[in-house]
This record gives sequence, structure tokens and C-alpha cells, in this order.
Amino acid sequence: MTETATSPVESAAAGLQEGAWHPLPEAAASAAGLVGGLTGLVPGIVLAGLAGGWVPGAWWLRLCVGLLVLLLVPMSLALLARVRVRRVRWCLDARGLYVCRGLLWRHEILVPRSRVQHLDIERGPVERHFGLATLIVHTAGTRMHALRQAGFNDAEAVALRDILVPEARRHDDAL
Amino acid sequence: MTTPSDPKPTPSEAAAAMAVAGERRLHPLSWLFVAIQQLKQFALPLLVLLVTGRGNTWELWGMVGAGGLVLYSLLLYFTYRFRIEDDAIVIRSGVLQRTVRNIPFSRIHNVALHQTLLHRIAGVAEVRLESAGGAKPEAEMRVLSLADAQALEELVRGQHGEAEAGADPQAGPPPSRVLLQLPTSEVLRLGLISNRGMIVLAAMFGVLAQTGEGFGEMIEGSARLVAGWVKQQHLDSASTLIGALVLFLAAIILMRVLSVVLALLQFHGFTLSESGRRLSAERGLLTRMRASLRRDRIQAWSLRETLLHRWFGRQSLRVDSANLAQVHDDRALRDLAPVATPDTVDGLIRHLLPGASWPLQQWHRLHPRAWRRQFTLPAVVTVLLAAGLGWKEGLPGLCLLLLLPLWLLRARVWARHAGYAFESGVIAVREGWLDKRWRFAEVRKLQAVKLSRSPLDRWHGMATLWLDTAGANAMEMPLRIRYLPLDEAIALRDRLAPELEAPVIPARTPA
Repeated sequence: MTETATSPVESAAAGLQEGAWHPLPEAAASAAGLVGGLTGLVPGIVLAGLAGGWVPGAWWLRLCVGLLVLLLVPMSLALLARVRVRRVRWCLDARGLYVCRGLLWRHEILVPRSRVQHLDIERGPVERHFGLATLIVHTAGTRMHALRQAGFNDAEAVALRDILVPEARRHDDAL
Repeated sequence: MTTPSDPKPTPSEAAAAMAVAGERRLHPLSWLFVAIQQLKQFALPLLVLLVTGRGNTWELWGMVGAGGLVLYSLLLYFTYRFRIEDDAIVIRSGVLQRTVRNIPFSRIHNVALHQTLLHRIAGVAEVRLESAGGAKPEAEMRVLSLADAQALEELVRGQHGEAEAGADPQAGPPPSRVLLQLPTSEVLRLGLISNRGMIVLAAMFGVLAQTGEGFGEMIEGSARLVAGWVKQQHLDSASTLIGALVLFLAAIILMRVLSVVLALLQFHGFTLSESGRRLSAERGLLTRMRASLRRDRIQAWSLRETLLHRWFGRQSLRVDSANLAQVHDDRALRDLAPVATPDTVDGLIRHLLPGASWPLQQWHRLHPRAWRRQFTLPAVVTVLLAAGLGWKEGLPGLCLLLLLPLWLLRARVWARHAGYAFESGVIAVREGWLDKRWRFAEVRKLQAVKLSRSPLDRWHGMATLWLDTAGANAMEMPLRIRYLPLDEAIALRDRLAPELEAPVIPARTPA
């Protein structure tokens, strides 16, 4: 396999260490927290309205309860998103890309190098602000046809993409 | 850049030019076609707006909508860029969520050009790059000038030509050989085993129920008629019971007759034959259907043995093919052996999977407590239901608890049968108690591996190993091994991983 012979050089250039487990950068937790908090705002407002209407008592008490709920819902969602990101570990070795993630349901996914069909790198506005990128590895499979992992450093994602891009002359042996 | 007004270059020149040029955009008119495409999707809401519109405001809203569409299409046009590299095409798109997509030429199986009348007038074409297994095309370029589209097609073909020229040297069709032929008696058995009649009846009921209230009245009327007749006959409860049983039996027999008729229609004269690397099957009484499949395109296998199969001493064998478009097409070759004796099925598998020594010998059991996982859920549901019923109806409600021993038996039988095997490059899973299923695939056909642990799995020290193949049907049993002891699951995953990365195995069978 020529790929395994060349990739350590390439990955060394990008500062990737093969065969070791890496966490996501700290910025990924911040970005996920921010997105989680923002998405939590809508249910937060709805729940705050409901709670404020439901609690008996003086208007200031209702306001306090409403504000508390409005604060708590996005905060807990942001916290959840942060914890989720902190749990992610990934590893690239001669076989392929491993990603380990999940809080209650834990998943360890392996996409072999030879099965990569094509790759996407996505950068949303928040990710661009934090210098992050989402890597999507597509295979020809059905249930796991795409491995999507957000929160890579931009350079890391690009390096991973360049390593995982299938060789031109490799025949589609799996299909 | 090639514009439609240029004198038409030959595709190969254009391909060469395309490869050198840097980042490119779509055809300048592409925003128009995107807008038209979007308009088609929004046609219904717009129409509703038009019809229900009050006063003059709808015109305004229509204008806003159209303006928005054009703006959106223009944005798409200005943000969509593609670049041809040595061995891949790189596409950048997206306004806020920006995507860079790398598609290696070697992974593109098909370049589809699509031209409507409007496209032809403008001298452009819609290009779709399709790769294996994907449910939707890898890239949709709406639209490229015709010259560019053909150049792209040429470029991809050129990359492929070298690889495929050597792979397909068949000059004439090799002699074909019959692998399996179903005589009418077997097709009758297939009808008796399968439940096609039920499906048709359900579909018929569905259609009739759609037709309106007449159907409901008809049902109600006939039910009343029967009830009245029963009352007239002054039957005692025993005869009523017997009558009901007879009716029930008659319904079952009718259903089976329907199934047999359907099986005859669909599978009469089923012949599976092999010619070179190609398998083909012919079947049907009135409409003859012929489907074929390259045998190296088989991705995964499903073997099934229901209770009825067992009574008749038969099994059925199906396969998945890589072509996802065929998954939902019933003309595709999926049934290798609609019904056959276990020996025939084993022989067929041995013939088509020569590397594997089917039937596999080393079956491993699951976690010793796997039966508990199968027992718990139905047991908990039953107990809850019984508690609810007992609270409402008193003691008779508790009769539901009699189901518990049945669930226990089911779980024990399930666990005794369930297992997995990994030998000679084939990974296989079996499950079921009355309805036994085997699912297996060559390891070199696996696409990805996932080790999952739910909270319950972690509580029991178990893990689930998911194995993904191309072209798998979502309705069928997935290729996954549940309730594995954790260390065994990890060990199995680590044994599978190097074989997944193994280089191409030369064809082990003479073509």
C-alpha cells in the first residue's frame, strides 16, 4: 500500500500524529456551546412564557421564574453541547479514521481508508469565526453512508481530507 | 472560458482546456435554470396564493417571491465554483454554510447529462456526477454549457477507460449454465409459504377504503346480515364458536390460494442462470421478467427460514446489489432462490462464494445474558399492561401475565439460535426464533464498522457491532451483531479492520 507509506510524511507536515487519539480543540467546545445556547433560545422563550403564566403569585415572581427558565434552558443546552464535544476523540491510523463519540449512547466508528468515496469540508459562520471546520467522509454504505464530525481545527480538517482522499488509480474493490 | 458563442471545440480539446483552467463557474445562464427548478417546487404554494389571494396584495407577494428566487439563484451561481485537478473534481458551494467537496474521478461511476427542450435552446445541459451506492448524486451541476458538459464527461470517461478496458475483455457471450430452476410444484410451495395474499388483501382494503363511505356501509351491512342469520338459526354458543372457526379457516385458505396464484404469476418458470460473471433470472407467467446482476456486485446475502419454510423443508435466499437505484425496483434481481431446499441453497452459496466454506462451522454465541435483553422489554410491557387491565377489569386482566412464560421461551430459543461467525473472509449473523434469519457478507464488501454501546449495553458489559454494506435495504435485518461481550466486540472489530483495508483480491473464480 503506497498510501500508508506516503501519508505519515504528509500528516507530519500538517502536524497530525498518526495512531494517537486526539480530542477536539477547546474552540470546538466554545463553538458548540454557542450554537447550543442559540438553539436553546427558542424553546427557552416558549418555556419561559409557559412557566411565567403558570406560576401563581405576584408579577415580579412570575417575571423572575420566567427569566430563570429563559436563562436555564439555553445554558443547559450549551453545557450539554460542550460536554458532548469534549467527549469526542478521533484517531487516524494505517487502517482509517476512527471517531469515538456520544454521551449515553457511545459510538466508535471506523471508516477504512479504502472505503472513502468522497469528502466534504463544511464551514458555517460560527465555525469560521472560531477557525473550525466540519469533515464529512462519504462511503458507499447505506446506514452509515457519511461520517460527519464537526469541530476540527480548519488545518486539521484539511489535512485529514488530503490524507483520506482516495488514490486516483485505486480500483473500487468493494463494489 | 467557453461560452456558447465560441466556435465549438471538440470535447477532447475542451477536456484538456478544462483540466488546465483554474476555478470555474457554471454557465452564466445557470441562475435562470435554478430559478425555474425552484419555481417548479414552489408552483403549488404560489398557485394557492394566486387563487386565494384577496385584493391586490398577492401580486406584491408574488413579485417578492419571484425576486427572492432570482436573488437566491444568483447567489447560488456566484458561490458555486468547481476546479478540475489531476485526479479529482473539487466543488465549492454555499453562502453561509460553505462546503468544499472532493470527488476523485475514480469514484465517479456515471456522468449523466440531462437536457430538456429549454436546455437545448440555450445550448446547456444539467450534469450529474453519480458514484456507487449513494442515494443521491454526488454533484448536480445546474447548468453547464454543452461543450463543458461533454468535456467533463470525456474527462471522467478517460480516467475510467484505462481501468475498465482490461477488466471487460469478453468478446462473445460465454455459455450460460442453469443454477436453479423452480418446477411448478416448488412455485406452489412458495405460494403456500409466502404471505403475498395478505399483502394484496391489505392493499385492496386500503384502496377500497379510499373510495369513500360505500365501502364502510358494505362491510357494516354484511356483518349485520351474518349476525342476523346467526340469531335466526338459534345456535348455541358451541356452534357459534365452531361457525367462527370455520369462517376463520376459510379466510386463511382463501388467503393461501391468493398467495399461490400470485406466486404463480410472479415466479412461474423461475430460472437462475450464470453466464460468465453475470447472473440472470427469468420468471413470470404472463409478463416474463428477466433481470441480471454481476456476481461480484453482490454486496450482502440474506437467508430466511420461517416456521412455514421449516414445515416444508425449504429456505429463501436474497441478495443486495450495489446499485441503489435497484433497491426499490422490483424488477431487479434480488431473489436468488425464492424457495429451495437447504441443501440447494447451501450449494448455491458455495458456488457463488467459493472462498467461503458455507455453511460456516464456527458459530459463536452471544453474551450469556443476551436472552435477558430479549426477555426484558416484552416482559415489562406485558406486566404494565396486565397491571392496567387488572386495575380496571379485576382478576381476568391478570390473565395477560400468562404471556410471560411464552416470552421467556422465546428469549431462550432466540438466544440459543443467535450468533455470529467470521471465517474465510465472510462475516455472518443469525437471529430469530420462529422466523430464523441469516445475514452475511464478504468482509471486503463492508463499508464501515461501528461499535455502539447503549446505556443498557454498558450496564450488562455488552456492545453492538454495526457493519455497513452498500445497497442494504432498510426494511431488512441489518448486518449487526447485538449483545456481544464488550471485549469480544472490540477483538472482532480489530480483526475485521485490517481485512477491510486489504488490497484488491484478484478474482478467485474463473470468469
